[in-house]
Amino acid sequence: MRVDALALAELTLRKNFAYWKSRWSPCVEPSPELAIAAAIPTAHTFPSEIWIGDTARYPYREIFFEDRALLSRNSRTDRGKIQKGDPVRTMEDAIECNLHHFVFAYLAVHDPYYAEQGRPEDVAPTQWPFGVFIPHTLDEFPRCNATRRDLASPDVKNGTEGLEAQFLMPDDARRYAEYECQNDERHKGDFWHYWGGYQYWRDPKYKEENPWTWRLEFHYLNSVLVEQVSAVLWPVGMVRLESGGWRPTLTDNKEVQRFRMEYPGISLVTYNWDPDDFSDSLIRASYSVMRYYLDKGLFPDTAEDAWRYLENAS
Amino acid sequence: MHLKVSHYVRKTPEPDGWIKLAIITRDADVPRAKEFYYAFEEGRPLTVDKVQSWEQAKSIRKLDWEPHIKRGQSLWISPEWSVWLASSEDPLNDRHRLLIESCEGRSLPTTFQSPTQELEDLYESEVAGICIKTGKVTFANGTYLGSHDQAERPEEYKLPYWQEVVKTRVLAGLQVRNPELTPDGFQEQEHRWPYIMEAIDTGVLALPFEMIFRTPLRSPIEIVQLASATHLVLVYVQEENTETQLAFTDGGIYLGDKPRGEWIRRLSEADRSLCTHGSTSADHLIWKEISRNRLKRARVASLGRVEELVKWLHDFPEGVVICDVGIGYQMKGKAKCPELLRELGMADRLGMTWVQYPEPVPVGIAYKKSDERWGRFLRRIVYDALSSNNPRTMASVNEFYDRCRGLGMEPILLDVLTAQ
Repeated sequence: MRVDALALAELTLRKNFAYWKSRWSPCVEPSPELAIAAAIPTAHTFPSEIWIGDTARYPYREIFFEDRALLSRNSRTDRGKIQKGDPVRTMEDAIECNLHHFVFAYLAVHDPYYAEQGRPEDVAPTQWPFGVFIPHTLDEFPRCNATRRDLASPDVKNGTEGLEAQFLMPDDARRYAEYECQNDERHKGDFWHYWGGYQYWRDPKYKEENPWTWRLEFHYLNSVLVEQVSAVLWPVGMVRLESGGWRPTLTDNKEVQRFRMEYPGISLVTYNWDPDDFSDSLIRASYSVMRYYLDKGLFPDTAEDAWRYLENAS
Repeated sequence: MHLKVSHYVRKTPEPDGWIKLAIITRDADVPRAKEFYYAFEEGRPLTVDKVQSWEQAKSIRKLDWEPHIKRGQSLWISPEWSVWLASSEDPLNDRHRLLIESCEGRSLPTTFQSPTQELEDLYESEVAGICIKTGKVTFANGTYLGSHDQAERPEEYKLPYWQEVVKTRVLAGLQVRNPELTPDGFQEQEHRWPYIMEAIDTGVLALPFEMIFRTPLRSPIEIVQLASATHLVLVYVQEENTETQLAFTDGGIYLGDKPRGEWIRRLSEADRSLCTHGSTSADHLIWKEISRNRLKRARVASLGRVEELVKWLHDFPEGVVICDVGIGYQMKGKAKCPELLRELGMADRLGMTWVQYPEPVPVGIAYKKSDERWGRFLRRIVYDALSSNNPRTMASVNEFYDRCRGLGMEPILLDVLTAQ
């Protein structure tokens, strides 16, 4: 039976939660520490630059200064941003469920791989990735729904429950994450193992487990306005000047200043992105910034500040 | 795991400096490896399908020549869209950096226009015995291109063809002709150094194959510099615990790291018979030291052929041959020749110690010093070759860079060439 993400029934989604919860047998109630999941922002990732054919595109400029929003694939098509013949990901299951009307985010760390899934830009690797933290206040059904997994996850493909059973109410999805951390022996009751803490990320075995296959996915109808997000992770790299010395990139072109001026209420957090540490530099930044935010209730100016804070705290 | 760079993620360069590129790698030890990785992230493979789809969308660029890479190295893109493999810390001061791809099909820096445009200025003029008129090239009598044993005397070619000939010659000059840096590989490489300078100076030879070391004794010629010779070698009969070996290896310590010129002082104090490879830069250096009374003239011989050098060591087992690194390898190779071996029994008895030139010697493609226009033209063709993004040309250039270091030379950088 075809699932329509635009016409989901709350009752069905509640039943889905009950079903998945019942799969834990015995089901241990989550410890209070796992309540982090109830309000932690979700993560959306996109590249700063992509090349299609012989043309360079700069998604961050489109998002921040043209559209002023993260747009669903359908909205991008409507606005002529995806032309006929443009290389796009097929995302068959998601389209079958009408999920192309939604913006995707994950209840997890920012990961360049997420940007390769479900967006037109996935025809390119996610270089110089930007990260957006989306607040839980946007978890408003039916404009927002969640799935227990990425629909391409082997958990879904190999399961017998079908696509509809994967859909959850946003609050149930957060609650489900708590149950999962508590009851899935892989996580051993540690939320950060589920979420993608840097301390786990550095273990090659953790990557081999393909954490994306166990994480919850959130969907926001049509768009998420930049004004609505909690914070932006802004990548900075170093340029070796031919005249001598170094300078940071993506900060001297006045775009940071412009962002701060146009979005005074949104935290802009710079972080050092190193192409040699393709995923690690983003994941370290995302993790340390999130920990800092949860501890202090505000975002730092730079991810490096947050990392230093974490190191001192430990 | 040893990694090779297979692709890089296309990125607009910065206008005023170098920036790192994101790269895709694969296992260098597995031919046609089925998995790729982001940079050094081996724990998270990318599928062939994914990489191919990116390649098809042209969001990543495949490298025709896949260089090895290790931690501490990065791929960089310059403002001119040239891609380099260089130190992650500071690419501009990395003397070992390698040009991987040039310009991505974009125009060269304005300081260097195309050789064709430069040729416009050379019409109706004679350059190194070559007369260029209205798009055609005529070679004057007696002038030829190439090495002494591969003379060519074409009479008339159209200009583009002639350009290609020159370029091919230049690239051939960049290459050490035998691909493997082994003693055997150097056996076939024969040169007649004494005649090259005269041939160039008299206009008989317009473009030699050989890389020429421009020493002060070669004042009539100039070079388009491609490298600096930093090291030469001392070759001697290696007998365990002999005085000779101790004197030149400092009890096993590599003399190449000692202050420049230290080895000359030791050579003088050791008071050994010395022999140089005649008319080479090593020979020029030793004669310069003799003229400064740092070495005794009576103890120095000079021989022209590699076999002669090996035989000399057989006759003077306490002696030392001073020569360029390539000749040192040739000597060790010759010593293994069945004929010489039967005669001398020198196989595996030759030791070789690298030492530094007191001053690096410029190495490059020679031309007649007074013919500066021809020199300028050669320089442009060399630049064109070095900055080419033709895969075969780039492979030649990169092999040249690698081999330079194996022969005691430091390649110079493209930007240095433009400043010459």
